[in-house]
Amino acid sequence: MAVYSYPPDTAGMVLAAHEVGLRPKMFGGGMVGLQFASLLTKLGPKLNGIVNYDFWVPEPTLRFPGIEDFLQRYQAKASSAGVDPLGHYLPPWAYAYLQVLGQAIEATKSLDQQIVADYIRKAEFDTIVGKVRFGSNGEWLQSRVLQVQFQGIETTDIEQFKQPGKRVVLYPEKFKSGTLIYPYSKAKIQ
Amino acid sequence: MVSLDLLANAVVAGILLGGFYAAVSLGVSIAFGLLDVVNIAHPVFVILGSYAVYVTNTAFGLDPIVAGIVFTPVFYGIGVVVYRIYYVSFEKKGQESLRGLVFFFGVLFIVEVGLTLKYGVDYRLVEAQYIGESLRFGPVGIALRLLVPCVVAVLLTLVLYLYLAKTFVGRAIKAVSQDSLALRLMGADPVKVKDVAFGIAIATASLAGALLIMIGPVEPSMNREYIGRVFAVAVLGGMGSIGGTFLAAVIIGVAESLTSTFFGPSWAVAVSFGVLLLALAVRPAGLFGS
Repeated sequence: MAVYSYPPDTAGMVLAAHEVGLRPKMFGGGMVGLQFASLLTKLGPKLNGIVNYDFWVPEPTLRFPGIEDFLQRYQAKASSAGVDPLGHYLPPWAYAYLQVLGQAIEATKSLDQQIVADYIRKAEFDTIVGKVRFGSNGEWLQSRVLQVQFQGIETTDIEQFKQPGKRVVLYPEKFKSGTLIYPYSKAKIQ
Repeated sequence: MVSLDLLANAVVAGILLGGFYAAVSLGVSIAFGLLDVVNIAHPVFVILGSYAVYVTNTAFGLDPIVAGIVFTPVFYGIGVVVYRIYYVSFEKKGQESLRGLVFFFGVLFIVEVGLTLKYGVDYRLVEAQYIGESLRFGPVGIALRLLVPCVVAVLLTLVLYLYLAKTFVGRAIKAVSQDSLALRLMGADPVKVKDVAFGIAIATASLAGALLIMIGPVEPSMNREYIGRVFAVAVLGGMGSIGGTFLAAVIIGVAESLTSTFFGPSWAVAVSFGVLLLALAVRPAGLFGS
């Protein structure tokens, strides 16, 4: 059962799935909201079994150089700044965008937009989300949208979401870190 | 062919949703219906209530309903202060119609932006053992996160109804809405009575906020979704009628639920205004208005 929703409906769908005892073979897809702490720490064990998109999770296959240091610095300031205390969802990519821009400017020694843009289209960049290269259409050469499955979540504690094994990467194959628990109901009760 | 199971579930969900709408609208019914104060900021006080409950639920694990009740005196105080400012600045000078409306718009944005600055725009939820659980009666499922708010709303309606009908201050509030000059001739101060009434109206927002954040996640700008709906409920119920407000809320809740189930959620938001237009055409005084 594929669900594409924004945060209020995402929370509603997850709660309703438990209220009606939903038992599809798979559940999830494109639910916005299951990537940041405010919903994760309230839904807790109700997340088990859901397969959903994400951009970065603390799995061993995604521990690129610099990401730990970045998250440490981000999380230290996050609470006082009133932003997502985990910072896994968008912040690493926001940082990586500027790493790409910075490396392009350094390599070309130019601020001319055309020159910098041409370089970005051709070169490969080392960022905290791994090596980044763009395709001829301007998109990522290889899609980096992850599909992760929530597994083994027993509490609503935020610390568990900083550990591997809670949001297991199923796709892309290159970053796969665990095995899909199938069907949904089997993961739901674990 | 309409599935009877689906129809039954939609009607039950609508009744429960209506109960919650009643809790959100009772404050408007008092302020707008009885005091003639167009408090369009009421839904933002409901959101403020949600955040107060969220903070205590997250920090101390306090049950949302208990937290909502605990904060009612604080919200009562806020209501008295807001009304005093409104009275001195606008009502006393006879400028309440347009400038008063702008004042409440200002209050709405100040509270909304204040919450955004403090808590950000992330959606917030609360935890309670009954959230995510449900009861089943044959084919009909009742989610406790909808049932509990509905039961609390019924109790809140009952308490307010009895307070206004049976107590001295309650009758004074009704009197100020009927003839404030006559009340003054009796030696009572209508402004003080309105202080109390407006305080009660805002106090209900604390509890309504608790119910809102139990049903689903909340963020500061969400209050705007409720402005039209709560005024539609208050007018449909018959300006100031507590029982009428509850019935109107249930009618709109059921109409929204049926529309959402059979025609899609996009149409549901048009329902409250549709029902309101129909009611104004057929019975302009509302269901229980005179």
